Amino acid sequence: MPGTSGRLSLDLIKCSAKRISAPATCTEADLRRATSDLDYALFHALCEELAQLVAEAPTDAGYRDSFTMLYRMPNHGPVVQRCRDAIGRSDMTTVQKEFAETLMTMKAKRDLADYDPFAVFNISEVGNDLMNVTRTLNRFLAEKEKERRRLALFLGLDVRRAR
Amino acid sequence: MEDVETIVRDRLGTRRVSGIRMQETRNADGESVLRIFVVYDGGSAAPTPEEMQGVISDLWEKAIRDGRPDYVVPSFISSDDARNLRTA
Repeated sequence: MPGTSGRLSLDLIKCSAKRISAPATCTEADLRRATSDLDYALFHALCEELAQLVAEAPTDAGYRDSFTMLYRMPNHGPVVQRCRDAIGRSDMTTVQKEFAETLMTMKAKRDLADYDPFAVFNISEVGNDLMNVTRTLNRFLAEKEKERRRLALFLGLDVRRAR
Repeated sequence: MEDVETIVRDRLGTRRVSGIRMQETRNADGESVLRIFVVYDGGSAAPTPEEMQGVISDLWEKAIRDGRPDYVVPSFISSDDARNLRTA
């Protein structure tokens, strides 16, 4: 599994924290990149869950291809659309709904951070986003494996092909 | 807009919220985005992650119920940072 902590999602949280660790010297670019890191942390958490389906033999060439294929399966646009569906479903847990809500919020913030030259970001805002995303990710990772997988499959699969 | 203020103040308490500013914009795909800046007076008035999530959940529930905007983007900022904020 990529990432020094075993999960790229957790490494991305650390990256975000590092970028804003010295507020006095923090630049606009630091705030924007830190915001982007947080969205990618949640997105990669989904990719990691999907790839875990074939993670038992990661050094085997055949599994490696399948691992990569599953890891790359989620697309940002469709994932956000599925997040809307997840929030409206009564069979999703609170943690799953919170994950979907935070992912949609951070996706919108990342779009602003990456592409809107007039968007304004502040240190307190990004610091609060860091706290919230960290909480969301930790709660997601503390869920039962089957519930993490269910959400990852629900959000990450191409439903046009699955139906 | 009034509903948004009510949701935020119900969750965080009126005294801890020193202001709410909103900015309507569109993303690169033309979807509507409502940025909501919740301003608090630093220190102990800062919302906890649980409280922030509560606000986020309530705002998304409302947006999906109303069918608009396409995205609600709540941000929690200190009053010091809010002085530099440019909103419509």
